[in-house]
Amino acid sequence: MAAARTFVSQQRLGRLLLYLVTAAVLVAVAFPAYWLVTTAFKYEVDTIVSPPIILPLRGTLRNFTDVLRVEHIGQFFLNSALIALVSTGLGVLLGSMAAYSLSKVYMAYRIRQVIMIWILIVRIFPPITTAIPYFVIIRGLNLSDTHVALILTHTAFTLPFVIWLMLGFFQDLPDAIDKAAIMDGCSLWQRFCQITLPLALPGIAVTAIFTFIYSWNEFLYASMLTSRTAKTLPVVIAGYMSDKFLRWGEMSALAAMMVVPVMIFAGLTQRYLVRGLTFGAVKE
Amino acid sequence: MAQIRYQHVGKRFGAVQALEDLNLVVADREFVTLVGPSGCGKSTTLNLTAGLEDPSRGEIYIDGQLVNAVPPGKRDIAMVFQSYALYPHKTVRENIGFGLKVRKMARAEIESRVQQAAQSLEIDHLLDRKPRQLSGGQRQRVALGRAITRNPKAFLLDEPLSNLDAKLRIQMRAELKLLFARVEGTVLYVTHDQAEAMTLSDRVVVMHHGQVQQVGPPLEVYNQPRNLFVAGFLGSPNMNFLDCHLHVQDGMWQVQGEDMPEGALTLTEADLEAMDLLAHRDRLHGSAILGIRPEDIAFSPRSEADATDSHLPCQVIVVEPMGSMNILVVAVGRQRLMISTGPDQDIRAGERGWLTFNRAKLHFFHGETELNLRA
Repeated sequence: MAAARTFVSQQRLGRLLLYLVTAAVLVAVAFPAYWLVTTAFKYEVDTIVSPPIILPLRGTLRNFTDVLRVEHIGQFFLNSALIALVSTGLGVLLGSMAAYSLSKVYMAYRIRQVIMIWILIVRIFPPITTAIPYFVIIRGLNLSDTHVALILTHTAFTLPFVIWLMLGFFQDLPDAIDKAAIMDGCSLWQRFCQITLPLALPGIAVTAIFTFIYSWNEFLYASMLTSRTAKTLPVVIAGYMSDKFLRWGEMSALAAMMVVPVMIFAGLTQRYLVRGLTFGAVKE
Repeated sequence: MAQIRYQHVGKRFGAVQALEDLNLVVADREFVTLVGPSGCGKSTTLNLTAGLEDPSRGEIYIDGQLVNAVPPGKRDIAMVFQSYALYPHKTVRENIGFGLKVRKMARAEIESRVQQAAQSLEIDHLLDRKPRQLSGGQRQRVALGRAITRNPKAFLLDEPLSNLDAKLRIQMRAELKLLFARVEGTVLYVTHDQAEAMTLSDRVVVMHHGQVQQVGPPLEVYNQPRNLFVAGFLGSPNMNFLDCHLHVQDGMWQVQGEDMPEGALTLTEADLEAMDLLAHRDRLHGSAILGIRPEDIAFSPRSEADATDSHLPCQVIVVEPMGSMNILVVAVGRQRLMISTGPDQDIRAGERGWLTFNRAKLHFFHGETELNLRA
């Protein structure tokens, strides 16, 4: 009886610990978002007081109106959207094609491994190490401060990620379906477009969300390769930071606004994240 | 429909010889089943025919045309996969019509062919469903529908029933037979289920270790197995095998063994005649393997067996009532034999008795080559 009671109380204790850990993780994840949103609504003086105001009792829309009044802000917003969407589309399309061929073309295990590592190398060294060569090349191509420059750069940087991720999804698709399509007379391209891609939609959705977020938030190359025409929002945010001032309010307001399109994009792609799409195709 | 011809076809995967020197002609409108244990080369043969694999050597002809270099989609062959391999994002209608659409057939023609196939398979009420909304049997029908709408030169079926439950499998087996008789298809069917091989085929091809062991009509292969493997593979329960030694004494053939006492089995010329072995009587000496099917052994309690000349003492170990028959496992010395008897014979485990062999149905295999001595 006593033993049983100990067991029950141990279980209760375990559950309590679980809740505590969950709460801690939740705070760690959610607090920055909370801080960002509240700061966006704070008066300037409230953003720099010490101790910091955790629960602001007064707020203002001033930061937002200030941000919206920045010259060409609409264009910068469109730049960001255009560059992120196009490089996501390009990255996912090219990356999927590469991954598909890697998953279908017969080659020795070691050769495939070498190719896969080779692809990954682009992402292994820190982006800053290639920044200067990129700058020189882009300038040499007369592409400085163009959308194309950033689209090319972002696509190149997301490709390895897309290939690695999509290869996993393609390899999980049942081989028999591909064979059935071959027997039905499909060419490689028809198999890719009509059979494999629709089945890999969940994978494409995940990959697209990640690549979109990457491009949308990318700062280093955006700040280096653009100045005015193709300037993106992260560069605008950085402009609120100088040796003379630090405009926390506007920074937070713009950052909060930047989150919205990502949420919309994720929401749009989320409906493809249905698991088990291939269910019913083959009997395991 | 068309003839399929294999000429010295071999396939090697690295160090593994999956298929060795296949020579076979599948006649127009013939139903041929490749049967054998897993890894015997039957699926490889199917894939080579489909064009999903390239032969390492030899030639494959479909309808008289060499197809070694013809891509799968151009061979005009339909394949049904063990896993069905339906397109999960397409409806049943799209699944069945997809091959026609790829071949750029007119939409109205596709629809009429899909309807026709669906009606003949009784799935016309399921055309707008997705594969995930179907039962195993229904998916199987869709996979068949996809094959028959194309009116191909030949059908390749890769263990199409093995994912169905036992009851449905027997039902679908009969339907398959009807279906392919109706479409008059040349069919190459792969299975490891010997019951399917026996019931469906015009001819069976028994394969083992990448080699064809025997080709023939099911009953011929069943009754006259060419070697020990074929004898053991076809039939359920399996054929019984007893190691024995043959010698001639007084114009009679004595079959003896560790578990077969002298006089247990004596064969006369008439017996050899019945076994079709008279012409090969000179082979009947030395060590051999005696094979006898469960249905060709009779069990009788001790009292009735006194008068018979050839009989083996035994003890019943297990009685398995199957309803339509009983299967007995009996011990003969250290060997175990399986016997099938009528359901009405009242036999208990532990009972002792005598075995009598139907001597016309005995098989003798060479002790080393394992070939049937009749072959």
